[in-house]
Amino acid sequence: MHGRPRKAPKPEDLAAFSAKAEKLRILQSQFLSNHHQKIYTKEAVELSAKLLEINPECYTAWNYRKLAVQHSLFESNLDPDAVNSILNDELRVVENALRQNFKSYGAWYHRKWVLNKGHSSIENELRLLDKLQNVDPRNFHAWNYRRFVAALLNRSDEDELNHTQDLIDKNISNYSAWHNRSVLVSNLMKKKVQAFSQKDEVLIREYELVRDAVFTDEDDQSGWFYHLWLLDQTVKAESPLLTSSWPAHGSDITLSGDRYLDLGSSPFNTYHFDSGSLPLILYFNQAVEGVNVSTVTVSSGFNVNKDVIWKPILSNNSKTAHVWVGQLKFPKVELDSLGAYTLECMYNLPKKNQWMDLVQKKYHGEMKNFHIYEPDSLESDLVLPLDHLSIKNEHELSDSSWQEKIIDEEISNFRELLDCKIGKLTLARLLTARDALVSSDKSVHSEEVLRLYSELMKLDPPHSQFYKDEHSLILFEKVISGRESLLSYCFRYKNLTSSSSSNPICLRLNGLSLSRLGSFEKLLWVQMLDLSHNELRSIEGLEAMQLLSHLNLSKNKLGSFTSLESLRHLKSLKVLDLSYNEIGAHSVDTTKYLCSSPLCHSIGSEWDGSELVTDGVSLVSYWEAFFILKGLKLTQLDITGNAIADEKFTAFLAEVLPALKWLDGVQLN
Amino acid sequence: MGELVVDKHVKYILSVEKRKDSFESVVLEHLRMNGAYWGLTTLDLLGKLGALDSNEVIQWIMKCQHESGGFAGNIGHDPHLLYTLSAVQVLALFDKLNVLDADKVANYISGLQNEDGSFSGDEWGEVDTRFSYLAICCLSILHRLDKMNVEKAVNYIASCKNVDGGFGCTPGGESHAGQIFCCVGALAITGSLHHVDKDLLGWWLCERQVKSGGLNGRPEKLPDVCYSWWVLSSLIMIDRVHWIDKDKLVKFILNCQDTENGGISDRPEDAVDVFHTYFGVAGLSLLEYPGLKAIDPAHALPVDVVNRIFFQKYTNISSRIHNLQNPLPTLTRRLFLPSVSGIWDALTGGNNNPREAVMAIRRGMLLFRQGDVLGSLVEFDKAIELDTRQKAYLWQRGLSLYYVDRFEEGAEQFPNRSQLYGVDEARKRFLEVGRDPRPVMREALSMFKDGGDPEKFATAFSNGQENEYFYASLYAGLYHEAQKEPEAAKVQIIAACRSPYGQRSDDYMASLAKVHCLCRNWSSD
Repeated sequence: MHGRPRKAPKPEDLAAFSAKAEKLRILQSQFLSNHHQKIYTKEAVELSAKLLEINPECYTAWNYRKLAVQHSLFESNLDPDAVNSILNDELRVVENALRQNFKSYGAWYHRKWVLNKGHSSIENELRLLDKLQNVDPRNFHAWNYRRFVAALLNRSDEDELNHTQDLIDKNISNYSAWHNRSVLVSNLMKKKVQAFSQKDEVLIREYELVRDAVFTDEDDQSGWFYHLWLLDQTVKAESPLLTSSWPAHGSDITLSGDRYLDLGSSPFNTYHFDSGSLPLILYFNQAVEGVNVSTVTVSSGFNVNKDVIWKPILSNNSKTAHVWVGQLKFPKVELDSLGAYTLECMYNLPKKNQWMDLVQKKYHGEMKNFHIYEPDSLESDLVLPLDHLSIKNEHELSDSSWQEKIIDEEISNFRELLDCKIGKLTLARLLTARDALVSSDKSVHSEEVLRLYSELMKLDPPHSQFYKDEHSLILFEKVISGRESLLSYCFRYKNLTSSSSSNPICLRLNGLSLSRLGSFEKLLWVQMLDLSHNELRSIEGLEAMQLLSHLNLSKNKLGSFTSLESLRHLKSLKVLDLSYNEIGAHSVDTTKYLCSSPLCHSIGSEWDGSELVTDGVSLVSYWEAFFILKGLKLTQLDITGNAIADEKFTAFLAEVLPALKWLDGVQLN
Repeated sequence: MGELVVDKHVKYILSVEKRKDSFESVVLEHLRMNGAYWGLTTLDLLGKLGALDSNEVIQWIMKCQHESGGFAGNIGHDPHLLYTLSAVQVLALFDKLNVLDADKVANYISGLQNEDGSFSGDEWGEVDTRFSYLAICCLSILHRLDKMNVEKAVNYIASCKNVDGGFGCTPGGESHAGQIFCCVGALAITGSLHHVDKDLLGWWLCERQVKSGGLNGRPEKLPDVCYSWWVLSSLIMIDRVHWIDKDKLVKFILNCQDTENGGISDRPEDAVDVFHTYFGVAGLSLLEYPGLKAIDPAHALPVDVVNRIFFQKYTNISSRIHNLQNPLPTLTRRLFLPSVSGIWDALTGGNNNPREAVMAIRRGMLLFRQGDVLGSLVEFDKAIELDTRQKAYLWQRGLSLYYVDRFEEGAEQFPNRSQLYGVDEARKRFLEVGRDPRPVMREALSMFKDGGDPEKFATAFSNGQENEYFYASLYAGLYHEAQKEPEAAKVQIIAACRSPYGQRSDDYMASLAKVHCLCRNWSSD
């Protein structure tokens, strides 16, 4: 019952209803009896029409009519006049039914079914649709039907685009028309039809049109999503880019006797490894497939390329990934006996590759040497090449000036609309996109963008968390982007091991009130990360940080183990602090279907009995924890301060994680 | 506003069934199966499913099933996916999926998949992503997703994605919250949410919240309680539900209650119905409203029911495998199962024997790993004494029996039938089991079944992953032994023991390889 007022019916109405109900009941039972006995006489078919006129949703009656049509088409010997009359009858019944209920799925489909029989009067359909769409310009079924008829008539996309234009001109707040426009314009651009072959020209035209909509009524959402789509079309890279790698392209690696890897004596890139191989990490700006020895060449001091097996870091059942990891194996020589090795890491990707175009737009430039400021350390003169000093590639960026021009134009337009939320939000997005176009490490507009998001949080409280997440992404990038800024968050633990110079740096991004993480491509080198005292609900994307060995997520808002899916891919992780989160405190798990589990039939989600280390009862109650943690070789874990962390649970953890030495600060036997 | 008037809603739902003569109920007669799902799920979420006679409902449901396997909306009507899912969901609520011939239902559903991966709702061919969801959700509940082409189905759904991040009913169709729920739900169940642009769709969905706190289904439309389900569940599945104001939405839903007579309507002061009562209560459940059972956002069933379905799955597979007497002791799921059978007793307050039986099994496995085959048998026998059901699952005991040469008994328990009957006879007795995802296991299976060259088999995996190399050597050896070629068997099994995986892994089969050498007096060091 939609939109019908709640009131007790009057007695006289009650009687009328009851009579109506009785009549309908008799119709329905007569109809079902005809249907079961396959009676297709004129009377029987007429009865079903009467029924559908009152109750168009009675799907079985539409099925019956289809059977009846097939029956009479067979009887008619396909005489054209008879066929037309049979099909016309059906169209009439559908029209009557739609008059009763404009949203009847059964009626609309019946009409399509009739037309698919090759009915000749198809032009009438557009006229009928115009009438219907006049009454309800947003009707979902009518729009679907229009696309169906247009396809049957072979109408060109340009003609249909004109039709949407008419509707938009009539009422700029017709989201359905804007939607159809997006479909048609996409098609036309893809096909590079004459007026749509120049992408920038198309975009400029469309920006102008949609700006009218947004500026006419800033609360009307019709143009919002269209504008965002145009922005995406403006900045979207045509092909995937390799945004960063570890070790960086062209970096010199020294392997020293005690199995440390040293890249140019940099503490940022000191990496301790205990297997005979070194991870190589590639980070792409979009998920790609097909990274293997034939598409990526690694040249180094050793002739080891053929040994590298590239594996995607996958979630769910995707076949493509942002992050690919290869293991570089060393020759089987005792490192100890040889002292130091030098190895130069060079990645070469094919020049004309279908899936990638190796352009490092953001960080291209010469190697720069940085001095590190270490608040926590006495050694302050270390020379640091940051890992994202990368490739000066012959594939220079394609000319981006038209993009810059368009966005600058939009920025100046939207500066005029700052008294409403869509104005502020759009401006923030435009400025972010503008910064991304510039080939520098600095985001010129980040302060302004942060201010806009802060204002939005106050202006539109119901969606404040949305703006907060956007704010966090910008803030996070700002904090780790500039060299001075980054260095001010880098610390070194003094007494971790005896030789303090080889201690990895700890990146401490705690207490920044971050609700979301991003910019992982800049953090591939991090081995120790402190994200405590933030507002994180998820750590999606963290799987890119393959070198992580220590991770502090204490005092955040993590609500379940499934939100920690990324951890499953961090094979080097040894120390993990999850204390004082909200794990176990919620009845609704918002990441249940974003992780690999039996519920989503994902790869690797089968219970593997050979790894069974605990009793089934715990396994059933704690399956999420089991799935996330079972493959990790943690030596230290803190879980206290979570609703789930009772005695039973900690006992379970001790069983699942046999390598664990410390649990909540207590040494295990 | 007030609180959720639980008792009034229960009374309202129960009363709807009794008002069969009203005009509404006659108009809606053809979709009574949906009505049953809405009403009964609401009762379950409210903790009052017991207020109803389940037998009566189940008998009626089964009367709606057609020879094709599909279910109709009511007795006498035609079958359709819309009602097939509702029927299966209601049976799941009552834990009565066993009354179904699951394969028959699954065949009906998979028969409706089209060449392009899409689904028709019934034999008449209407195509819609709603039907993709119905098919996928239903087959998931029935553990029969393998009956359809999941990859094509997922690709079809992805082809219905729009530039606003939402989904339409066919490619090019406008985004609509109900349609989005179907597509996101289907992608969730098939582990394919990477096809969703979570931020873009999340923004579109969170902007469905209007000033009153209610949610609409498309831009510039009125709010409606039913979107509390479609929009909320979608936001939850993509982890963006914190982008709306939950408190305001709770208030909106509660404002739509008929606090006098029970039931919830689309908007405040409108007429109530079961459909909106369900979506209101389900929405409140998704909002963690106190006192309500949690509902699963993708399968649209209470979380405890969904968990039951997914754990029962393993129990079912185990009994099927057992009946098929698979001669390869490698389907690792079964290792889990002896414990599972005990779980339910433990959870439902059964006696302690099953738990102790599980303990005995674990001790037995430990003894076996240490090479004490006889000792392990004593423990396994104890387990069976404590809980006779264990006999059906205890393949570990079968292995132990194998090594003390009690083949006949071992065969009853768990046979390596080739030792007993000779290879040819064993092959004849071999029955197909489900496809094992690991290539090495599939190859081994086909070798034991159809014969083959064990040396070639072992060589094929010699450059594979560590565990593949191990298993290939082990099974090549076992095959040699079955063919009475002890020397060749020795070479392969010792190679398995000495392989990195054989030495390091905690896998029971790694222990088995060692025990095998021990029993045959081969030195594996």
